[in-house]
Amino acid sequence: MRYLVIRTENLSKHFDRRVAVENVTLDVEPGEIYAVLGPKGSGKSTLIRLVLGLIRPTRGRVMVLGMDPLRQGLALRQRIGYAPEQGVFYPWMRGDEVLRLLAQTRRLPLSESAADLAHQFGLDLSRPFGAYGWGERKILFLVHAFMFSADVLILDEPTVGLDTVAQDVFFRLARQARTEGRTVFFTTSSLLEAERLCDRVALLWQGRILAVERGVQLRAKTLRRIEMRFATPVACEAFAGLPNLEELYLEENKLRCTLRGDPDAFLKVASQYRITDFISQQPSLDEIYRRYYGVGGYAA
Amino acid sequence: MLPDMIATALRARLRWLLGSGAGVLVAIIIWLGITPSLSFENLPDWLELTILADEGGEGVLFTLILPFLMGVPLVLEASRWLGEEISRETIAFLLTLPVRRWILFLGGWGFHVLLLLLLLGSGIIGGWLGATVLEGGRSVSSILTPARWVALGLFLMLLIHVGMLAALFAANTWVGMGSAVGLMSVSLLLYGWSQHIPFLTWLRFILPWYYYVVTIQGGESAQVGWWFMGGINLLLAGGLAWIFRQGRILEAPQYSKDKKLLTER
Repeated sequence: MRYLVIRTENLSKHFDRRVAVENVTLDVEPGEIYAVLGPKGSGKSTLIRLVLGLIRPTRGRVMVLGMDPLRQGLALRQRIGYAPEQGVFYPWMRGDEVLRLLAQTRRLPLSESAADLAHQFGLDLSRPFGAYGWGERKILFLVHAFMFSADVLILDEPTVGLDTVAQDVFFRLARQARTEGRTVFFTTSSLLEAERLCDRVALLWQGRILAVERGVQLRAKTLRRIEMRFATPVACEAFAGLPNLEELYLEENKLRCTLRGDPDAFLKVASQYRITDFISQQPSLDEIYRRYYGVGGYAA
Repeated sequence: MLPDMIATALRARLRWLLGSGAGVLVAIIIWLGITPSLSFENLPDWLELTILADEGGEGVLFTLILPFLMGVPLVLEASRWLGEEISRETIAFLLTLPVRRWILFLGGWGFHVLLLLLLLGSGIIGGWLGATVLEGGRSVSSILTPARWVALGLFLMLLIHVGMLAALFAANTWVGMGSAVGLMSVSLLLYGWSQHIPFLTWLRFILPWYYYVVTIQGGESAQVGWWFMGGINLLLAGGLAWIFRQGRILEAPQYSKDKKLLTER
């Protein structure tokens, strides 16, 4: 039997008659970076709370590191590093005091690795928590999650509010944790983040799992809206033969299209002409859901 | 961990404590200073019985002044603990740490008991100062009767428990505050009616105010008051601990958030 770090079986959580999470079954393996991808309100934070044993499921069950979070919560929480979506704490406490207090809960002194992590993120630990912006608060909780050798890191929207430098630090730390054999389980509403970082991604929609994709598969499904201007008019036929090009619109020297997956072939064709302008945009998660999974605001 | 948590909370509320403590102390001194010029003789009997109006004004101190003066800030503080979103989110985060739930509960609940004790201490100092320094002729023993302060403490604890429970269920500070202060005010009002209107006499036995009044009055019926006040506080504290342990604090904010988001879907 496979050893799974996180296993949920038909997990459901209803608040009165409202469904927050419905029949979610997940298998997270050791040493894996696993994301739950979904738009706001899709049930990601509820799922995290269920996995942590903070709330009781209406149906189904959760096992984390082979333990039931509701019954063996104390032992389990020793082995989990958690960062909340919007962490709050005593506003007058300095960053290092917060980390020291949190370390005390594990009967550990504040290690130098905490200061090192804060330095990597560019966080000043001598400032009071109340003076931190949302991004800095998020960083402080990420430092807390990573500063112990937790077997599993459970992170709720870890990159929301972070600048690009801090995001890169987070990506690096997550990959490092994976190479050390630790598991990173996090929620995100960014497709880009999921495809860049994750081994597997569960796509959540209105509390239900639509699909579980490998990172590679997700990259193949990536959509990019391309807008290009060329120095001279180009022939439509040059692009029309490309298999992963959709909604192609060409008007003299201006091209608009939607590119799916690998951009290599498209760029090779385009580079035969002199390009004067280039814009690439990623469509919303909603659109990805609509195109590939038939759900979403515009779904039929 | 428990002492650390209480010390941390105390540090966070130091200014509140200093302000409230000083307010109670000064208010008692002022009250004891002005009562000699007040006359309660013209009050109707039922009102005298309701607010325990006596010549020295000590009864009124324990019925009208101190329960409201100390009760309102204490209940507000207690309701904030389990009702305010920031406080609830902090507790929710602390619950993800390897700390036992009962320690977290005791940290918060014990902190509010400590606040109550410190305010009572401030009141006792104010009473002593008022009676000995400002009012040389006043009987110190009638103000500093231990039973009266213990009864006040139990009554305030009852209000704190009601405030905490209401705030916990409603996930709202003001609901907690309103429930506890409303209970005290309505209880006082109905107790007054039960003194005034003969066929409502039975009503007093279901009112916390009655049990509070009989304990500060002393005498034979005080025994019933002590049992009621002690018993109901134990019951409410036990119930609150049980509900906290069941994770109610985590369900309610998540519920309100999810409800909002699900409505937006």
